[in-house]
Amino acid sequence: MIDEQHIELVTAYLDGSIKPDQQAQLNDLIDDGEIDALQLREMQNLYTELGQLPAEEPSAQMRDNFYGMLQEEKAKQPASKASWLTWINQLLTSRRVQQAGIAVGVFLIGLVFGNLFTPLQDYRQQMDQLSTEVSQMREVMMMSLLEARSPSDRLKAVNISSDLSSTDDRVIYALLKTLNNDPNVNVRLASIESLLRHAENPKARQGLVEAISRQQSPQIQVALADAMLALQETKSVDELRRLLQQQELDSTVRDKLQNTIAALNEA
Amino acid sequence: MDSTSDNALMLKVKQGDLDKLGLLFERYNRRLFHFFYRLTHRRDVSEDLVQGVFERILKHRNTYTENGAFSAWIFQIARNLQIDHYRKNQKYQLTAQEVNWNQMEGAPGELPSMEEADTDMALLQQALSQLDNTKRQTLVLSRFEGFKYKEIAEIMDCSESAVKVRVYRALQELKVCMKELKRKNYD
Repeated sequence: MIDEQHIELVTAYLDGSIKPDQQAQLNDLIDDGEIDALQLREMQNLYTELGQLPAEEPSAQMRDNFYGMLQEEKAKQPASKASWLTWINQLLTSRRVQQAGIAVGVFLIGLVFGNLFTPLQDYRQQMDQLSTEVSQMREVMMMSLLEARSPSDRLKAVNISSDLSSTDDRVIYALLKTLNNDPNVNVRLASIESLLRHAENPKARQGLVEAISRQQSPQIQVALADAMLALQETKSVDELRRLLQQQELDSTVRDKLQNTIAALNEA
Repeated sequence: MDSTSDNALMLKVKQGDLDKLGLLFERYNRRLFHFFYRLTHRRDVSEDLVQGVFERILKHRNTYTENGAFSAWIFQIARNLQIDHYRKNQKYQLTAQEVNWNQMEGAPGELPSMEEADTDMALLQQALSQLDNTKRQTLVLSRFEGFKYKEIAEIMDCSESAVKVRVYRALQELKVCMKELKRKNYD
């Protein structure tokens, strides 16, 4: 029997992993009779024969059993995070679900517009309509009040015209008619203030300028001079000069008109 | 790391991609079956043990680390499983003398009618079965599965020197056993 102290060399020799220096050492031991070459050959033959032992092959049933077990194990994982994610992913990528999602989205958008924007638009339309109707009513009321006998009613009518946000030419003509013809000074003064509020209307400005020479009341004359100065209406200079030529003109008014003319000329 | 390497596949199994275990099964089922069959000589037992290996992998997949070769890891499981099976069934194990080798699966017919080479193979198979389980495992891993001594040491959780001693002594015992069996066969 080969001595166990040579196991390292013998096992390396058997599995073919012996290195050249080990092979040389083994040869020396065989030459010296330390290792029996015959016994070594017997061991090698035995080791080789072992590798030639016939092997059975597994049956197909083994494969079936394995894949059956694998399926069972996969089925045990429904609550796992990955499975949930997979399920959600499949749900989101489903064409039917996508179509249903689009339909629901369109429905919701319609609902939002239907419930928010449309009523708002209706409301605004109604408000605009109401506002227009109120303005028309005020105009009618103003027109009728301007014809009233009572100066306070006419004054009220002029004040109503000041509150009108947008006025048509009828209102301007009515106010100018009041300015030029109303017997009450206060009403005429109020009409000047109201016309000033509508100074963006060229007819209102032109009417104010033309009214200057027609006025006899010093208060109205001064108020018109102030209005021309506020409007910086240079076209009014000729009318103001014509007024200055009146002999019976109040001295205060005269000074006022001269100052106004001077200011407008500098403008 | 190669995405199709054994380690990479096993890591995917660990992460929950169980289908990758199918690939590992395809790579290792025959080797594992041969390993068990050479130790047990029973097809049904060997197939059950192969199934057992993959059951254990599934059960303990979360403990897998990529330290070392996957092949060493899977054969470590296989070896432990075979030891458990051996211990459980030790009292039912037939002694070498009681085994009817003519009726063993894979045994090539009756010994007297066989060719000399076939007879030697049958005797070698018989002699191998007479070794203790540890020596038999060592020889099977070394000679049949092609593992290096270092890898076998990892699988069997021992030193490389211990593996070499086991191989050496197993071969010595086999040689003695073969001589005895041949003598009996000629008588």
